[in-house]
Amino acid sequence: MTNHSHLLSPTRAGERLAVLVAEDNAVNMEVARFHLADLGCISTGAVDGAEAVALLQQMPIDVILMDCEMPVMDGFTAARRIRALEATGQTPRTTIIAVTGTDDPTQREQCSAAGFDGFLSKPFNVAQLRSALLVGTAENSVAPQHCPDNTEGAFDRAAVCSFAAEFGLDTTPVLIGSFVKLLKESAARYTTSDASRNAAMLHALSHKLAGAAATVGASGLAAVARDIDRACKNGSFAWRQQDARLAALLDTAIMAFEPLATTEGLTRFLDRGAIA
Amino acid sequence: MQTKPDTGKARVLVVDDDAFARTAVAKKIQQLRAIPLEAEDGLQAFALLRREQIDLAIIDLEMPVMNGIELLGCIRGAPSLKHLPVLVLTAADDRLSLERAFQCGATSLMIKPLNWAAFSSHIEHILFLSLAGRALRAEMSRHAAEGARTPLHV
Repeated sequence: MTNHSHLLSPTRAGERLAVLVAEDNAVNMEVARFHLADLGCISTGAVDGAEAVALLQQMPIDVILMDCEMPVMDGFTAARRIRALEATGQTPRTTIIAVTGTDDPTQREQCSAAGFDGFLSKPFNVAQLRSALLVGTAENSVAPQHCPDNTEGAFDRAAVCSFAAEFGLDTTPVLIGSFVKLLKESAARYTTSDASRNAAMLHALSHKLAGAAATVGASGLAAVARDIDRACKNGSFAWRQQDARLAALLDTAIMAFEPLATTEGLTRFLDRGAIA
Repeated sequence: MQTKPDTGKARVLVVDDDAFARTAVAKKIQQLRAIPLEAEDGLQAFALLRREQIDLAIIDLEMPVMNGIELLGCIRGAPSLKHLPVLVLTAADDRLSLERAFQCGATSLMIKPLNWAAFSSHIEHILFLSLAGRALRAEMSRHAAEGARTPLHV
């Protein structure tokens, strides 16, 4: 089992992301909760929309993975009920991600209108679940330290293309794979206790990241890492403000660069640029 | 004009504690048809240099165990390595750091992040000089040996 726990936890002051899975199908429920455990989240189950609404009022929930089609009360109705509870201040704002059997634009619009923060179509794998959680919680800013806004600003497209042109289609994915490994190792540092996140550790980390990020064209990350590196070198405490930003950028960069670590993924990325 | 050097089979030692940076440089060396060898710190690098025939060492300055400056000191202190060309790579771009690297025996220096086109030309040029220098030294010692065998005409 791949350990993705460092990517989603801790979200707030050492807590793990609490996810409620509203799903009438027992097998789908098992699979979703298995993936959530893999991502380091804690999860609870509800068999229909009504139970989900009831549970939300009894326990702290960060995110609800809501199946749209369920007996008793469907996901759309449940989402509207929850938003109504929030509007009257009875429950805190909760991220709700719609889980649907199909992936068509009409359904996405319907979900958005019902007040969902995200959308996930079945069947989904752990990576897709993780992306949906990251995007959904970023929209709702539940976990500002670990959730990127999007992957758009993660790289300077021209720089990535010229890096790929320099090393070729065989070697570039290998190097990007090595970069992603560095990103993940760095992100893992953020799951350790605050005590170990001292200036010396951050200096070493930001120094490595600045060089590597600049090399592959991860411009946003490179700029922040360079600022931290300089601040640490000068003995300034300015890095404290940048610390959370670096954590968020690491996650964004992982999402942006991981698909480019295969020849197919990289080819798709380069082709997309050629069309646009 | 100098012809393009045959740097194929030249052996280049890449020393960097950062796996990503080391791999990128090693891959580029491979694409230039030379043979890369890798070391993670100065101590490991120095052991390799004493054991293997190396034509060029590319070293990072900021490393644990033994840093680049200390490694340069060891290299220039070893008689068998006095001709080894050493290219220093560093993220530091202040005058003092650069001067210090040269004072400690760096042959050349490039600032990270690297411009790969400049890096490639640089490597080919240094390797050309390294191989030419070695050929010249071999020629000179051959002449010296022959000279010693030839009796003096009185």
